[in-house]
Parts: sequence; structure tokens; C-alpha cells
Amino acid sequence: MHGGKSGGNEKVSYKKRIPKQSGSDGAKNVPEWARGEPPTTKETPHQYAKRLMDEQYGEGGWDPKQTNTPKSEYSRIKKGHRGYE
Amino acid sequence: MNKNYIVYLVTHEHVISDKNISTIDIGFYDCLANAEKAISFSVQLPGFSEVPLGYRIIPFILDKVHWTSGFTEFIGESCIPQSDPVGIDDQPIIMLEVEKVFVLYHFFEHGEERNFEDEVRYIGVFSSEDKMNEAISILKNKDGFKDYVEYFSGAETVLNQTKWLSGFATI
Repeated sequence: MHGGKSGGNEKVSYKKRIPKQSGSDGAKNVPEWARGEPPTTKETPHQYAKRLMDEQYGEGGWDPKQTNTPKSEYSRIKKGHRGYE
Repeated sequence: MNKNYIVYLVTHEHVISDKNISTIDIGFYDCLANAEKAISFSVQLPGFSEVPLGYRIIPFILDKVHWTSGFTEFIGESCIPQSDPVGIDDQPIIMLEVEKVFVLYHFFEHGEERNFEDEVRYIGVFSSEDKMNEAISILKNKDGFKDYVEYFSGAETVLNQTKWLSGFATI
């Protein structure tokens, strides 16, 4: 569950979907496992994509060259960051 | 006549709306049979199973440099690369028994004026890093590229490695 989970002593808050981007023109495809995983309010698009990839595959468990590859899972998650405010 | 070797890109196109087309690259394959096998597997996954006719197999001639005239217009991110013509004497790269190739892209993200859309070009699939770097040397002073010269991006790519194994969701 998101929106106030505690990580150590620091409370983490998450961004919310931008309503105007929820229509078909603003919709984005992301990996199935990344559905419903918003960025935290402090994460950059890169940090957000890296965190989700690390959580899914483990640190070092995914090919870092995905960061240089368009249309990869990493790049699509990074793109999805724009759908949150 | 020179024999070409062919690498096959499997890509998937999902028309979300008239203005929003999402393309996903499934992988690069060393022969047509392996590309078709990847599609047979991928089409069972979430998201892909709802758009089973979205797959395309794009043949690339190994070591061929594309976009040699540069570019004068933006094409966005969903433009599917043009298939290279495959001649009767050409062979799938499986004949070379290589496991990896080097895929060179030119891509960057537009600003707010184009809604942060990606701009993606497939420059080519290369047999070595040196050949990939030669392609950058050929293109970096051409129209379009010379204004975005820092956005060439090469990736060593394992053949026959299917991506997006969990499928996709539209959010």
C-alpha cells in the first residue's frame, strides 16, 4: 500500500496520478508488474525506474544497458513518471 | 554479389488512441524461426494477449548504417523502422553462430512543446563495437544528428533474449 509507508524513521509519501493524463491520449504502457507502483515525491524519473527494476529483479539482476535502450522496461517506467504529480 | 546477414527485430505496436501509439521491442533474433517462436510465447502474456496482431518482424541487414542522409523532421517514438530488403542470397545471422550484436539508436526526449515524447531512430545492428562507432562517425555531422550529437546510444544486445516477460499494462 502506498501514500504513507514508513521506511526506517522517515515517512515516505508517493505521487498521485495526474487525472488529465488518465485518458487514452495520455495513457502509457508499463510492465505489468509496475502497475500501481507510483514514484515517491522525491524520486527523479531515473531513480523511480531504477527502484522498481531493483525491486523486481534485484540489484544487479537486470541489464543496466536498458537505461540506454528505448522501449525497454526501464525506459517505459521512466516515461510513466510523467503521469504522476 | 556480397552476401548479407540478417538480424530480426520483433516489435509490438499498441494503438491506444489516434494520437497515442505505444511500441515495445520484444527482442532481436538470429533467424526468422526464433523470432516467430518469441511471438508465440509473448502473445500469451498480459497486455500482449489483448493485441495479438500488433507484432511485426523487422529484418535488419547486419552492419548496414541507416539514416545516412541525416534527418530534417521529427518522427516521434512510435515510428517502426523500415524493413531492410532481404535478397535471395542473404542468410540469417544464425549462420555466423554469434550470440551478441551491437544495436545503435539515436534517441532523446523532446521538451514540453512536444509533450516530452521520445524521438527514436534505429541506426543499425552491428557485428562489433568498432563498426557501431564507425556508424556514429559517419552520421554525427549529418543534418539533424549534428544538432543532437550526444544522443547516440549503443547497446550490446544478446540475441534470442525475449523481453517484457511479464507482459504490459496500460495505465
